Amino acid sequence: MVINDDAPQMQYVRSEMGPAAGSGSRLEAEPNQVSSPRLTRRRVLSQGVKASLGVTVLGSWLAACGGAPASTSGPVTIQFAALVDTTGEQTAEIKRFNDLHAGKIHVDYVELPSVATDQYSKFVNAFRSQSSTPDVVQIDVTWPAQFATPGWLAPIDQYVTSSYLNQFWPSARTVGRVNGHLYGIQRYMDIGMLYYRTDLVEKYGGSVPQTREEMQTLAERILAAESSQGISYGYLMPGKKIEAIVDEWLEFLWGAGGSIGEPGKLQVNGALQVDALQYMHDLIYKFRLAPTGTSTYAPNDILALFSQGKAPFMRNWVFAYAIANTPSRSKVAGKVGVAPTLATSGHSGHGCTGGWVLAINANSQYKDAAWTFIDYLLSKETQTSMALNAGLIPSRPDVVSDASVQAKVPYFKQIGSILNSGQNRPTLKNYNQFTTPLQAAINSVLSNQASPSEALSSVQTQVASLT
Amino acid sequence: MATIGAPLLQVKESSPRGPLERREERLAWLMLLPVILALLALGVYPVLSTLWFSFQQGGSFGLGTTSAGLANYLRLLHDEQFWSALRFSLLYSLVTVCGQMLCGTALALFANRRFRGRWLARAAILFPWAIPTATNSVIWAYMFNDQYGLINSLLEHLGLLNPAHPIVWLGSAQLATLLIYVLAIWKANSLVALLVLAGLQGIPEEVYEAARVDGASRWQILWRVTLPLLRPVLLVTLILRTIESLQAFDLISAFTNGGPGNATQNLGLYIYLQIQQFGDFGYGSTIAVVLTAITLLFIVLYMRTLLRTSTR
Amino acid sequence: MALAPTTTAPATESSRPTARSRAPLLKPLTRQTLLYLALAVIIVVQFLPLIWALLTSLMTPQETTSIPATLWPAHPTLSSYIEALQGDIGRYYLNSIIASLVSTLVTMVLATLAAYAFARLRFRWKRLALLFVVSLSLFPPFSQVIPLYMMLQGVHLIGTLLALIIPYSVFGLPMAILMLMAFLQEVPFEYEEAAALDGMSRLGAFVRVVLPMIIPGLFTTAVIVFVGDWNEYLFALNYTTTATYTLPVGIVILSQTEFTTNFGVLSAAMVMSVVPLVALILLLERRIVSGLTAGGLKG
Repeated sequence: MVINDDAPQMQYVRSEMGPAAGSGSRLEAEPNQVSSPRLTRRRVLSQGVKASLGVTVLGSWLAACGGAPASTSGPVTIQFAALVDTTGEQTAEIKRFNDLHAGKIHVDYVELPSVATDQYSKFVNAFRSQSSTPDVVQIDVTWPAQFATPGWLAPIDQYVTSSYLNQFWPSARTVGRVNGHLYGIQRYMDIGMLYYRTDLVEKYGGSVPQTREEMQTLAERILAAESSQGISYGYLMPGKKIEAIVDEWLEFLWGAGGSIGEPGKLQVNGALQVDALQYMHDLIYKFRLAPTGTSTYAPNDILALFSQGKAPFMRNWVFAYAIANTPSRSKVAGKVGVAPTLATSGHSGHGCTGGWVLAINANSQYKDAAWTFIDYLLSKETQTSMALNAGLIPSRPDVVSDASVQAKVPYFKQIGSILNSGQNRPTLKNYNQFTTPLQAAINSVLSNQASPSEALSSVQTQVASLT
Repeated sequence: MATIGAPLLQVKESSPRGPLERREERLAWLMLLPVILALLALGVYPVLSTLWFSFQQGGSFGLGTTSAGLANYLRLLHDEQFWSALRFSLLYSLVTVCGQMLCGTALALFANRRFRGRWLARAAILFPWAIPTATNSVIWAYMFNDQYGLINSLLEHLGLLNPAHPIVWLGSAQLATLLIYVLAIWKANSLVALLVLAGLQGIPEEVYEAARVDGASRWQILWRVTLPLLRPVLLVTLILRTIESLQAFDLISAFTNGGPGNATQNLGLYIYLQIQQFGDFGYGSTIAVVLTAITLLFIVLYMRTLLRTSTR
Repeated sequence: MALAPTTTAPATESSRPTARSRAPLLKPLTRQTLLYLALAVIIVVQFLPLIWALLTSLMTPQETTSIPATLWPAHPTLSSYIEALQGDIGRYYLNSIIASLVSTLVTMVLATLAAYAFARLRFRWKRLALLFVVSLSLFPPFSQVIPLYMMLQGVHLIGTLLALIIPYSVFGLPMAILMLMAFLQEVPFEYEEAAALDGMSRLGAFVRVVLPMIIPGLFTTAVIVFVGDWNEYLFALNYTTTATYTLPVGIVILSQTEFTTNFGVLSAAMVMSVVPLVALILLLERRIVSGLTAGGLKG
């Protein structure tokens, strides 16, 4: 990604693409060669435009058709597609890899917009048309089954041993297992957690709430006493029509000892399921602990409320921790703790796991090189760097429990047990057809358009037989 | 069928006979050739594939589908979500197109006057429309956020709103729908205004002068002279706005994503969901075909009505 | 700021001595006031999101989501602009300009030819041809994302700007043709007849007589086609890659991470994408319209 590189690289691609170009679809990779972030205007106009317009692509395509000599020496270029990263860590990790494997493997970073449906759409288009790129993909934890079932991902069983796999959290090594094969390993973890104000919890009761009732009692007490201090709400949760509300509903369900059953016979409208949704509704309209605008809030909306000291409790993903504890962005920095999500008495809370999985495109021409890159991203060293610089939770327990890492990221001391109690969403090849109606149903309940049992029953018929 | 397309008002078909006519015909086809070739090359395959898939079922993302006969079309009959999306699409189209035509025409008439600061009016016309639709919807959602949004904050400053009870703009089906209408009218009245403005510039000054000499008032000139002369432009604008409003996608998806619940889900979102998210090409294509048929119906309807009034 | 003319313009009117005596004399005053009042309302309504984006773009990240909303940045900062510029907004800009400009040119040339044929020439199967052209614009683009992807992939264009230029150029055609036909029909036939008497060919009359008469229409159509391409999202998302993302996709990349939206950067990017575009269109419009009137005088 350094400016001076792009001309020679393009040169190289043109000669090295010979064999790949024979099979065609590789060529779209090329414009990435000019993706250096700081192009000068002149260079952009002379090189970038030409390449962007596809002139060089066509040129090399024609050259390939004309029987350009196939050479096999020199580095292979693989494409790594992953959502955008604003911390710079992604680019730094790739650069280190490229330096490490200079002359053998070169990784190009294709940054994707962070909207999950946009990424999904881009991946599907590429896979569906048998494109050989991107080679390495970073996909959501709910996607491996969706992409592996039609044969779009390459099995990676041959690259891993059981002792290799044992380096990762259990859910990180099983999330990519589909129909008896392994298709990916998780790169970083995410999980729903209960965020709480350490100062307020200490002042008004002492122990961190584990059950719904404990939270309610404490929240009501705090709300009553601290409203003059700016506390306006008791409990914050995302309620917008997005994936997070399904996860949150699952957490309330799991925390009450329930489950939605196995693929093929899913149940979303049983008594516990309805009760979990009713409870979410009650938090807003009966107990009046959650804001009336909950049905429009995404995770960043409730984080804004929480970090401005408007509420003592919040259900959110891991990303919120770093922001809520950054003094320049939060009034409650240093007073934020995390705990497992809420349960009912006699049960324990289970956060819904999330995160991103590394996998290989089934049509990639460079699967070995792709695996080398994945192996590098999963190594202890790279994962340590990722934890420290990007604030993400490594999929390796040995990094999370590392004393020097914990010294810099204190909440890693608790995250181990939270992660161990985490549960995965169902592995479905039609996951979207499961979550989309559920999102709409839950959101319609939170916005007072339907009752929980009505809403969930209407979904039941749509999702019962999904596999 | 012969009434498709706005300017057909004045399109007349005749069978050319003489050599002059034959030369004219050759010239016409020569001028049309590039367009027809381009559309054949790029437009026909996706359309045919959509039609074909509407008679297919199963599979994933169009791979491994089997023949479905009319099953997909029959499925529509019992699909509540389809009917509610259809209802939303039709209402949305009706309200926003009317709103855009009215506001846009008014804006254009206003900006066509001569006064100091007119460029501001012109900039005001261009601006809403020049923002990328998706970005614009995110900004609007931001402005209407009930906690940190501009609108509630302004209302609070004006003493119209108690901060303890913010208005949850996007949390109620009615308010969200209303806001989508407002947003859509605001965003695209520009297009109407631009076209009408260009149409106004094409009306020769002598026409107005003649009317004034006849003692017509401003209002009479507007109704009897200006608007009738604008008819071709207004008709095309109406057709373009109708097509686009029935196909709306970016605007709603980035604003409410069809929520709350499915209250603001239109056919565009539903088709996208079926095709791009569920990979159900058969059903998604079927809805797309239905949407196309509805659009066609609307355009024919416009043509009929306007033809009748114009010949009266 | 927009109100300034309101106060100055009516002042000259109110100095009229007989302002109260007769209604028609009062009229210009009220009309002026109403006019500028209307202008003020229009400006506030149409510009509100831009004004808000401008203010937001100058706020600190904390201010952008403060509760209640910060109406005025306490410590104006350009950091959002710097962040957007350090991200690749320049490249997104360039891609957008190339893709939209090239497609608009292609669309306009092809559409003008076709619109003239449809509006002015007599030939058989005209209605069928027009039906063919229009009906293709009726199919919703989002049902065509994947079939088009397959076609573009087949010729190895996915990831290049041609993957946008080609569909933009073609899918803009039906709309452009309809608009241009409407403008062409405003031109009285007599002009071409006169040109024919002068010995001009059909094509010559079209280029030298008819086209100059519809320059405002041509310009408007071009602007509409251009902005349509400029704002397109679905194709731009699916057919491009890091090097070829256009502004609508780029703004999402710049301002949103998995869970957060940076409203400052979003606003800055929006301001940077819209203001130059509108200014350019206004400037061009003024040039072209004045050029037109000058030409008319000479003729």
